[in-house]
Amino acid sequence: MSAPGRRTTRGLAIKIQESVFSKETYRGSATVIVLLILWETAAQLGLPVIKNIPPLTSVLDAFREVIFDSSYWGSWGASFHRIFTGFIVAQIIGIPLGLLMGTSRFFREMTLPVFEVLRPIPPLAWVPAAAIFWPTREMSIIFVTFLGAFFVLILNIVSGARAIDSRYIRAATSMGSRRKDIFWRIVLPATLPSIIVGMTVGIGLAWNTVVAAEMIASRSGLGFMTWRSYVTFTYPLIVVGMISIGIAGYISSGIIRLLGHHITPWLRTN
Amino acid sequence: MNTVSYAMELPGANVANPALSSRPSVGKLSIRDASIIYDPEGVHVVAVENCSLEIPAGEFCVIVGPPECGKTTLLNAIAGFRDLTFGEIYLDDQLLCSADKTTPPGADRIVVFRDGALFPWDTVLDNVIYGPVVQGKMKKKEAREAGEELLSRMGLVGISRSYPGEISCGMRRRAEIARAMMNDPKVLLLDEPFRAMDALTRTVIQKYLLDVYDASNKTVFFITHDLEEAIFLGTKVVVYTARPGKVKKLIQVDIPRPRDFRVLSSERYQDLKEEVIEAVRDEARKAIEADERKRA
Amino acid sequence: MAQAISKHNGSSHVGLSQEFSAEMRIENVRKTYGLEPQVKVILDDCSFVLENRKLTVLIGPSGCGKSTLINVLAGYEIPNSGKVLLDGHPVRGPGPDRLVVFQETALFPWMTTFANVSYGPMVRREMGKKQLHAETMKLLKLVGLEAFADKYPSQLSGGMIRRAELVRALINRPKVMLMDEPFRGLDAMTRALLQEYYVRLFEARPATNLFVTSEVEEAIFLADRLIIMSNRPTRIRKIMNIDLQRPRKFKMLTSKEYLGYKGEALDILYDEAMKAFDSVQKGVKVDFLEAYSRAGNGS
Repeated sequence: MSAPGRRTTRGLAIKIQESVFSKETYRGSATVIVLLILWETAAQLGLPVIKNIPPLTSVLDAFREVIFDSSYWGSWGASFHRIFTGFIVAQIIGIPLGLLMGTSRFFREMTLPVFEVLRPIPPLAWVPAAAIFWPTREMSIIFVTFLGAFFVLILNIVSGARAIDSRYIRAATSMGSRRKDIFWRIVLPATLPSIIVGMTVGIGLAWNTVVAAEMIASRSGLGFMTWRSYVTFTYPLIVVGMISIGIAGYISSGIIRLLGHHITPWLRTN
Repeated sequence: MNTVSYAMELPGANVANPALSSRPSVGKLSIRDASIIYDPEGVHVVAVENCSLEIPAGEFCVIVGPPECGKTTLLNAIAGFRDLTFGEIYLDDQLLCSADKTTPPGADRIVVFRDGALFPWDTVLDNVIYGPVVQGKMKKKEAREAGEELLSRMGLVGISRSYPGEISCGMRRRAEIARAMMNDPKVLLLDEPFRAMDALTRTVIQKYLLDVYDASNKTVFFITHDLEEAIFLGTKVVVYTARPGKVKKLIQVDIPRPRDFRVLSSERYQDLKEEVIEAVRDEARKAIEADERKRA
Repeated sequence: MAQAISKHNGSSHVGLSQEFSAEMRIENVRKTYGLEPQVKVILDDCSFVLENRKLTVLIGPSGCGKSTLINVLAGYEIPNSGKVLLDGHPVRGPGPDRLVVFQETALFPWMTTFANVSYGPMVRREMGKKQLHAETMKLLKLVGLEAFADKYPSQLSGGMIRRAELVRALINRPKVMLMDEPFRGLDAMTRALLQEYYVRLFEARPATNLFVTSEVEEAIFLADRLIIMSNRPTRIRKIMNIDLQRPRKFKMLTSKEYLGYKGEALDILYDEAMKAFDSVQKGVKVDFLEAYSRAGNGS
């Protein structure tokens, strides 16, 4: 039910303007502002329970200080390094493995049981085992991050590959495709959306895992920074840490989403 | 020449039912100069333009037209799901909707949708009796009895305790029609209800619908793109133009009722069909070309 | 449009060579699913000839094995017993000589229209890039889609997708085209348009076509030969030769001969429907439609 509107730049500008300045944005922003005001007021008034939470103003002050502190950005670097390493290794191993499991019944029957046994173990539960096994702390954290992204990726790819409608395979076979054509031209593109879902969920899980792993087992990173703020009674930094982690996660998902968008042009059309 | 009788004795065809007794006709629809313009993304879309149509009480009125020509939008306005931008619609000489007024959807104008709207979480019988029970018009026990009778009239026996997901598509459609009739509406609105079915299943369901219509004399507002179906079912066929939708032609179908499949090979039917095809073909071509231009 | 298509009758790419033979036969084919004792018999001792370079239409109730028949002819399924022959040679699997247009679209959603249509020759490495480009664009033009070569299927309407699928098959110059209710679900006007495209394409290059449908009008409009299937146990109920002139025109739909064919076909179909109903009255099921469409299915 799309309208036959003129797709001009003016039309696009109007569209953006309308969505940014729409009723929805006003309503949403209004709630956020109200909550911020309540937060600040409650903290200043010293209401019971809430008074332990650092007030908004002190958080903003802490932010202002920390931005010029190089160790803050060092924390960003440390966390991001772990995320990317773990995540990318998960993709490098997981995508081919997932595709193999999704397309070969023999292979799947051999490997899936092992997989299903390991999967329910939460990545964080692996931390002590990883610490023993891997030579450095850093590697054990990256390993745990890898696990977070890995299992969900495999799951998505296998289900995506198995769900490919047989019509496509049949049509391609009839037209004379060989096995490798079927894989590269049919199976891979058809599974791509599932791969992207796996990556998107995977990066979120990776962040979950890394933050907790840092709190437990590390001396660097945003998670560690947040934990240390608690331990050293510099409470406003806790909130700074939380917000930083949120932003970092959002940026990571954004990158994945953009990447996914880029490699699936056929899904872009409305 | 042929020895097979076309008059199919459908099961349940002669069961009496209070909801279907012939009553003095109500449900006269008057559409006067109705226009519906909607405004997504700052660009005017004229869906319906200056549409005027009189549907006497008890008439089976079929609207045919190219896809996306505004016929569903018009149906939605009558049903109360959408506002009119200009013009008025009267039901039994009372204002139903206008630019300033929209009567909310109600049991007097029940809709049977294209994609089926039976509640998947209720049994078939519970679906059928939903309306009267929820409005407090009937007690559950008598509603159940009336519902069973209505279902059997539609040829559905033994499935009242099944869930919609467990029965076939054709059965679901018939159950929906039963549900609609259970509410004793003034106007029955159907939006391409048989579109997704294969031709042979469709023919039999059409017969059930006609059966129910003949017995109850409700006003029916039926949208379809299938010209055969339009002439087979309708008393009056309204040919709609491509968007913005306007009435292009009115064709009275003077084939007597009750109608059966023999009608489809009769000469009168073929003549009417040619007339409708002529009227529709141009509009269809325009609509298809416009659609392709939009996509390019 | 008719002229545009018939002009290509002489040109090399639409015709294979004008002389080719493509009769398909199935002899005593039996196809079942499942294992004893719950085995489902879909085709039982089924024999069938698809006449060389004719448009054969198959009409029958759902569940009577039409799709299985197509799968067997296309080579997607091997029968339990019996023979499937193309020009006397047994069929051993799918191939570009027998192409299917399915009920639901099998255009690859991740490829543009152009990439879809050129897929077959490209993957078989049959022609040079330039030639393939020219041929693909020629065929797209034939069905009015040249402006949509770079669009994805999700950007096309239902009718356009079907047209693209027709030429995706035709570019491979198949000997046999198998159409499994390809126009189902389209609105009546788009459907009429597609019937016209299809019949013109067929008439320009007659290959052996099998067209399955449930719409009687469509069946008679297209067919050289109409086969009516019965309910389960499935067998051929009647074969009608449709002697309407080619090229077919919509005007013919009101001719006396056409109406005669239509009446005859409707007779048989309703007779089948009543028989199914009768046989089921004695049984447990009361729903007539269920009986008609799924008799003996066990469902």
